[in-house]
Amino acid sequence: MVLATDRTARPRRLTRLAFRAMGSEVLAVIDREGRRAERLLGQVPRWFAGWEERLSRFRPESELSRLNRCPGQAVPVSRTLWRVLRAALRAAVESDGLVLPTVLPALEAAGYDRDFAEVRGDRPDPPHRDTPSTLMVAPLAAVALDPEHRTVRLTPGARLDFGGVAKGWAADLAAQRLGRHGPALVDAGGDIAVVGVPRGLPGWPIGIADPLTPGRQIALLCLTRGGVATSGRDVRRWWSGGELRHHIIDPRTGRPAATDLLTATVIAPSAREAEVAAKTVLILGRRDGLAWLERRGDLAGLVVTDEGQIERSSRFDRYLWR
Amino acid sequence: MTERRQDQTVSDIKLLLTALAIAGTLAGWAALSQQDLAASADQSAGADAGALSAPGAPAPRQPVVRSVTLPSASVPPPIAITRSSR
Repeated sequence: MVLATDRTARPRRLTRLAFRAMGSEVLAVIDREGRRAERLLGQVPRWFAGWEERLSRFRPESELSRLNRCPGQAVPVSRTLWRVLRAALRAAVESDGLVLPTVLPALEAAGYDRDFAEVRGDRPDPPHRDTPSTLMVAPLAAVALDPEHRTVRLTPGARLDFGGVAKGWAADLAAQRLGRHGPALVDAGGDIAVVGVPRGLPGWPIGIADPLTPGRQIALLCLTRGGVATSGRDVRRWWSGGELRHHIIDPRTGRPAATDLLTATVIAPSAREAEVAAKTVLILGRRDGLAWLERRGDLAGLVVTDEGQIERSSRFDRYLWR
Repeated sequence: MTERRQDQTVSDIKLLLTALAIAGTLAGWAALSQQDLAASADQSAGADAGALSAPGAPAPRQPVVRSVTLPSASVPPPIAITRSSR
């Protein structure tokens, strides 16, 4: 964990805290100085630890894992899990059915069956080979919610993974909480939410990483509200059964998406929506993904193809730092 | 007669060597010229920062216009960077 005061931003100083949570690097920034700022930021890792405890599929005792182990039963769930599940179901609608929380069996079949830090090297296929991959993604009807009793019932075979939706949701909520005390930014593994604008700046300067050249950025954004997220198959990929796979499952095939995009970055009214849209664009590929973005007036995005070509949607330029 | 034939052979060899030398020099110039063109194209790509191809435009035949615009004195360093989760 690194707590530091950024002296490069003028005229004010920002206080930032970096740590790891949800299997990713997390950064929290607030436009305040001094002990008060440090105390505020010091709460953020605790928030993330609490959310991870409930929402991680890699922890056998997490609330999500317990729910996944109880098919057919109405399981009472916490307010946190309920909210994230609702967000995941909204994501399914927003993405035209391309971002589903029920992809977990397909994700495991592709080889992503443990924390990514342990997914390394060429591995034999997991034992789901005889199940057609399309049957590994249960339809949304497999998830029954009872709002009155706040219970969730999964049909047998359906298991949930919140993945990026949980990170975007966490970034949004943490930024809102910090934002009560000053302009704030929270970056949960590349899903970034901002609240307010740092004094002395027109917005938050946010870079978009170049997936082909580590350390380089392909654009600098000026974000005044909402969020931005990048989805890609440049990092979380591995060899399994002699095949290079990645973690973005296309529910139409039940397999890692066959796409010509390496990364997709989307700016949206929230980090969660940005995350969902970025994943949707990545699954759809360059042509259909950009067309999908154009149809949504509240989104803007930029994609990088396998060959390194960069294309952007018509509304993207309004977010460039000028 | 034999001496004349030898002279002719020597002369032929000299001619061949000269031709090879000229061809080599021309090939060298051509290679240098190509390098200059490539370097100039790279610089153009860099100067084209921010002018990425518009949506719907035909894909460029040469991939990799991977430019970043901006850095100027008024542009701050990024406070955060969006990327694939790691």
